[in-house]
Parts: sequence; C-alpha cells; structure tokens
Amino acid sequence: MNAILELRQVTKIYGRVAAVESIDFTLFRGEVHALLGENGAGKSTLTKIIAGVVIPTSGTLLLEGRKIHLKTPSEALDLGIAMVFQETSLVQSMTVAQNLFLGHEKFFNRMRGVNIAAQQFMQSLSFAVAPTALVASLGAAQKQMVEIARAVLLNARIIVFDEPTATLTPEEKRHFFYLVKTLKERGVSIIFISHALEEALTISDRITVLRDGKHRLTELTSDLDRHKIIQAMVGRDLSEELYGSRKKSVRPPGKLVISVQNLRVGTLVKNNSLSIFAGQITGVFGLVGSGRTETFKVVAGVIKRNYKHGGKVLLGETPVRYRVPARAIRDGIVYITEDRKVEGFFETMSINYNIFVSKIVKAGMTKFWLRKHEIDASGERWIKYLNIRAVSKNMRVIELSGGNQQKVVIAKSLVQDPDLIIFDEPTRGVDVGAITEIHQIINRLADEGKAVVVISSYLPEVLLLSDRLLVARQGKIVEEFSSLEVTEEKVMYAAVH
Amino acid sequence: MANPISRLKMVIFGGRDERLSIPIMDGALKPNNVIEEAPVFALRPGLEDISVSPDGELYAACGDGVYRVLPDGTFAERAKYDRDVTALAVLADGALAVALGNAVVIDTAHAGRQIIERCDGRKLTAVNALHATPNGSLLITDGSATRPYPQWSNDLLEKGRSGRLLEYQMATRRTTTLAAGLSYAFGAFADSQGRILVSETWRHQISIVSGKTRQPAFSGLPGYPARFAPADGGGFWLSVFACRTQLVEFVLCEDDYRREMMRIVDPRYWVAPAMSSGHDFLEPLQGGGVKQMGILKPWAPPRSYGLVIRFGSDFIPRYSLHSRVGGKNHGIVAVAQRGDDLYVLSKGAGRILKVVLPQVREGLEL
Repeated sequence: MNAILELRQVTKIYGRVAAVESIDFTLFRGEVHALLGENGAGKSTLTKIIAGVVIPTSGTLLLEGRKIHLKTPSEALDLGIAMVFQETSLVQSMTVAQNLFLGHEKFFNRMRGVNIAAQQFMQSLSFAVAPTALVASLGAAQKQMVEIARAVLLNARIIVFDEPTATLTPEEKRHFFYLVKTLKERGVSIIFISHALEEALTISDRITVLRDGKHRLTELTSDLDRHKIIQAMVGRDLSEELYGSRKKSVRPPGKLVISVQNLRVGTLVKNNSLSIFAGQITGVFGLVGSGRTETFKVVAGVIKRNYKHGGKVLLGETPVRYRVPARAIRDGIVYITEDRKVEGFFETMSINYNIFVSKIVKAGMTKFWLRKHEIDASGERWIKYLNIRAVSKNMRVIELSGGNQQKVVIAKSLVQDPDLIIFDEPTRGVDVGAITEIHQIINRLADEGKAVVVISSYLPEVLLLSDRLLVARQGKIVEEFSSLEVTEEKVMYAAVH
Repeated sequence: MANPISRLKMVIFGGRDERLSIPIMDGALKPNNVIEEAPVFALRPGLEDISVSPDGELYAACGDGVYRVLPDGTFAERAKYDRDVTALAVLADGALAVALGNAVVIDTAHAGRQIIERCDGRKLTAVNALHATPNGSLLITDGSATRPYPQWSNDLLEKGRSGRLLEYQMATRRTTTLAAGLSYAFGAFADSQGRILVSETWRHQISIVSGKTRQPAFSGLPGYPARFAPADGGGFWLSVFACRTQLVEFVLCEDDYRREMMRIVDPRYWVAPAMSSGHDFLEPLQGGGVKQMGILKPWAPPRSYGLVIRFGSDFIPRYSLHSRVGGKNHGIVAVAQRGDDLYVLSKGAGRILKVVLPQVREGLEL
C-alpha cells in the first residue's frame, strides 16, 4: 500500500490551547482508517485540517508525496479531498439531482438532462435515491448517500466522514457500511470518525486513537481489541494534576427531587429513565449524541418531550410538563447551558443587570419596577460570592474571560434560589484556575443540600465531582456507578458498548 | 380501558404511556446480586414468614407449623395449627402470634390462647402480616376483604381496595381499625417514635397512619411492597416481593382484557406478578429488565425480581439488596435482622438466605 495522504507534525493552536499537537498521520490508498478518541480529543480538528476547513498552525500535509497548503474546502475538493459532515451540507429545498450538480451546472442547464445524469450516476453507485426527490424529504441515510455521491462525482479520492452513523437507524447503518465497502473497492481512501468502537472494528483497516490533541496509537484493526482502544482513549496524563485526586467518600442521597420515566424526545432520547436526589452531585457522562443534554433540557423546560408517548417527568411525586423554562425556574429547577455565548447571557449587558434579569424571571410580574440599588446590591453580592473577577459590577459580560463569564451564568441561575441545578459542560472553554473555583461552587451547592447534576463530556471531571455517575448511550441511561466503585475504563466501556 | 371518556381523552391527548411508565431502579435502588449470591441458611418448601424473638432466636412459619430455625439451618417444631400459617410475630414475652388466613391466634403463657376473627363487625379474610409494637400492641394487616391470602393476585387484578390495618391491644383484648380501604395492606411497622407505617401494595407505597389520616411516607416504589422488619441503628427493612412491569400496568388499564383473562386463562399464566417464574413456557414474558453489556434486553422476563430496601428513620432509602431475574431467590416476602446478619425469606424458592451486612454494606451504601 502506498500513502495517498501524510500529515507530519501538524499542530493547531486556538488561543493558548493546542487542539491538536504534533500529529503524524498516514492514509493509504483504498484504506478505511478509523479515527477514535474522547470528545475534545482533536479528531474533528484533524479532519477539518485535512479537508481545508481549518488551517494548521504548523506542520506539513503531503498528498501523494507533494506538499500541499489547503486554505479552503474548495481547494481540498479540487485536489480530491471531500468531507461529509455529521450535519449534511445539502440544500434542503433542492432536489437530489440539483444538489449533485450544484456549482457545476452547464451554461444551458436542462433539468431533464440533469435528472438523467444524476439517475445514471446514482445507479452506478447502487444508491437507491430518486434524483427528483426533494432533499428535505429524504431520511438521514439517504441524505448521506447524496453527500457521498457528490463527493465521488467530484472525483474525491479521499472522503472524510465525521460521525456518519450517529443519526442512522440500524438498517441505514448496514447500508452505509455497504457504501463504504463499495467506495473502498473503487480505490477511494476513507477516514471515518466514530464513537462506536464496534463500528470502527468492523469496517476499518487501521485505527488511530487521539487523546488530548495528541496521537496515541495507530495500528492495524486486526491487532486491536476494545480493551486496547479504550485504554488508549482514556489513559491519563494531562488531566492528572487537575483531576488526579479521587473521591474517598460520597454524599448520601437525600429526597428524590426529579424522576424521569421513559422519556422520549424525537430520535435523540429513547425511553430514558433516571432519578435525581437532593444533597448529592449526580454526574452524567456520555459521548456526543447520547441524549444527555436533551433529557435535562426537557426537565428544565427548555425543550419539550414528545407529546404522545413522551414519558413522564415527576417533580417529587407531581407529574410536570414544562412548556417554558420560567415555569421550571419557579419550581426550583435551573439549567446552566453548555453554550453560554448563545444561551447564557446578554453579552452587552452589565454583570449586575444580567444577574437581575434572572431574578425577575423567578419573581414574575411582582418585580415589574426595577430598583437600581437592588440591582447593584444583588450584582455585588454574587460577584463576591462566586469570586467573579471584574473591574466593576457594571462591566459588560463580553469583556470578561471565559471562566468569569461562566461564573456569571452560574450566578444567573443561583439567584433564582433553585433546588435542582443542572450544569451542562460547566467548565467548557474555561481556564484551569477557574475550573477549580467552579468545582468548588458545585461542591458547595451539594453540601448545602441542593440536588446538582453535572453533565460533562470530560470523563475526569465527572469522576472528580460526582457522588453517583450515570452513563448515557444512544438516548438512554445505560449504567449507574457509585463514585467509590467507578473507574474510567468501566465508564468508557458502558458509554461505547 | 376504564370508561369511554377516558378512552377518548387518551386518543385525543395521549397520555396512557404516562400511566404506564414505572419508576426506575436507580440511586439507592440500583440493582445488585447480593440476595442472589447470599448463602442459603435454611431450606424448606412452603416458607411464609420469619421473625426474630427478643432473645435472638429465629422463627419461621412454614406450612401449618411454626419452627425455630437452629444455627445449622435445621427446623425444630414449636407449634402446629390446623391451617397454613400466613404470618408470624414473636411478642416481647416470647409468645407467638400467628395468622391463619382469616384469624389471628396468640398463645400466651399467662392468658392462654386469644383468637381474633373479627374487627368492627367485619370478619378477617386475608391476614398476611403481624407486627409487635414497642408499646405492647399487635399490628395486623388484613390484605383484602374479598379474597383469601393465597388469591392475592386476584385482588390486584380486581384492583382491590378493601385492605385494613388493625391494632390489637393485648391488655384490653380490643381490636380497632386504624385504616381501611387500603389497596392491599401487606405489612405494618411501628417505629421507635411511635409512627405507624403500612405498606399499600397495589399503590406501591408505604403510608404513615396517624389517627384517621393516612399520608404517603414513600411512594412510587418500583415494586410491590410487603412486610417490614426493624433495622439496627434506626429505620427499617422493607421487602418487595416482585417488581412492577409495564405489561402488568398495561393490563391493569385494559379492563375488558383483564376480565376475560381472569375468566378463561389458568391463573398460573396470568399477566400478573408472581412469587417465582420460569416453570412453564406458557408463562407470559414481560417488558425488559435485564441489562447486559449496557444494553437493556427487552425480552427478559423481570418478574419475581425481589428486593429488600433499607430505609432510614427519615423514610429515605439508603441501599437495597436484590435478587436477579436470571436467578432463583425470588418472591422476597419477609426479612429479619439479628445483629450483623440479615435473614431474607425467598418464598418463590422456599429458602431463608443469610446476608452478612458488614460484608456487603460498604459497596451498597451511597
């Protein structure tokens, strides 16, 4: 086998954080190469570098031995490198044929000719998709077929799939594997990102594991087993300092605060059931797409569960169905978003106003008249309580660092005096110093008897914080561990099997 | 379904699935293999109830007799009756109180035999649990007014609500009704603070009875609660003889189906909880309950999944001991603590199991 693509010492640095660092990677002609790693391991960044979406900070890319400098995805496409994203980039309101030839239309374009060409091409790939069908009307697998067909039509020699099976049904997955096999036979090289080890072990020729942005392992699939891969995925080093200590005792559970029974949300959450107790931290771990966030967004009224067959959410013993978060907030449930910049705060508003806005949500119409001294006092109190480092309480939130912005988001929730606090990725994009402080805040809340949920994709973080740990996979909780018995291997095993 | 209006409401608004959802076993109720792996202490078909006397002897009701269970697991006869014993309690003076289905018999040394057959003008029908309180009275639960004790599953499928909690005062020989209209009373307990608890099996809850009022102490149990036992260090043990399944809940919603099933199907094959299962391929399989490699196996029959829950004095579960679907020690109906040892009665298997608490507690307490 000769190499079609080589990456040498590729590094990409965002701010002060290296997303990938000194990666060496080789892709052979006609090979299926699986790329594995935890969330945040650098898989997506690496593939985006290959597809020209991200420009590396340093390092070299060689295509068939020639040095290349990709600046845009279209440059990569011209060289035969295509990427199929998790969310397909097709135009929903156009037909399959129109999407296939989009950007490559002839001067005199006849729909009939386009449809016939598309039909012939799809048939040559054995793809059963009608060229006249609207893309919006297609299922996830069929959309992916169109995306793949487009890549092949553009003479792609390398196709990168980012989590291609995440949204597919088992039947569609089987079909997808067949497609991959067909492409391989045509001499196309494939890079395949997946969280499902089983899939990687089934269809790939070689497997590369990344961890914390660094290359950990590349071996023939036949030489690997699940255990070896998991070891390579979760092994610790960088996190040792921050997350090195482990729990020696756990808080006993208090009263049952929330019970979720057979919850369903679209195709993301499937019959999920769990309970949350007061006075302890419940960690929720799962890979992206495992339905963790959606479950708790339903609990907090941010999204709605299925109207029919949507299951049940009990607050104590009372069934609840929140249509807006304000109702949940009044019942003492707050959700601290994972996407603080979009959902967390008003970035051009000052800290104290941001905090006070949340207070108004809880108080309802009784706080119609705002009193400046009250706003200032509450801002000052929370800045002090959470140690928000700001020049003044009137500073705009956009001017704060990531860690302090996160503290403002936390303050906005705590000002509502909740009984259940759901932290979704509480330390994402937060500097190391602030991580420790946020962890202290979370622990303090549990010590005060609040029910605390911590959703995190970063395993050492949930292990450090949780008194009990729930593992989600494919839309439901599949395992529960006490912090005293849990190991990284056990959790990862439950999350991927 | 109950009536056309509720049927129409469900068609328009949905919601039956909400009624069918059952609480999950997580937190303190997280499954383990403790009961399944516990050594068999004593073995005898027909075991029904166990109790520890104040002097530390373990007694067992089995068939029509009451036996002292010796340290080597053998049985020494203590008393014999003309009917099967359905519940047992050892009083403070060592006297035996036994239930014989529709009567309670108390044999005391000083006052001879006392028999209770009626209370407030109503006959006892299905006495299934007795508990001697610290203040010297005897709590009696009469599960159903319509069905005798062996027909408990009929009472569930008929949605029986005729259970009673009674109190018998030894000194005055008076029996009073503490609570009536219970959805199958199957166990009572008086804690050190004088609070009286009763398990309402078909409502899957334990309630505090105070005067004429009844309040849930812990509701939403994932199974069918049965008898209580005091626990060392405060709190109590609660045995749960089978777990709820969505199929049984579904059948309980479907009145026509349920009536027809009871009419034409052999009771052994009813869609209902059972003390043991797996004897016949005609037994219905029920909704999933086994998790293997992180995957819920939907075809696994979860019935007869007995467990014992350790409650604190604040009525919050601390931890639980489980018997697994794939195992044998099913139908846990009674439990008794003696020092560090916990004796668990599996009615389905006809066994008394011994759990050494210090050995298992560390891994279970949250």
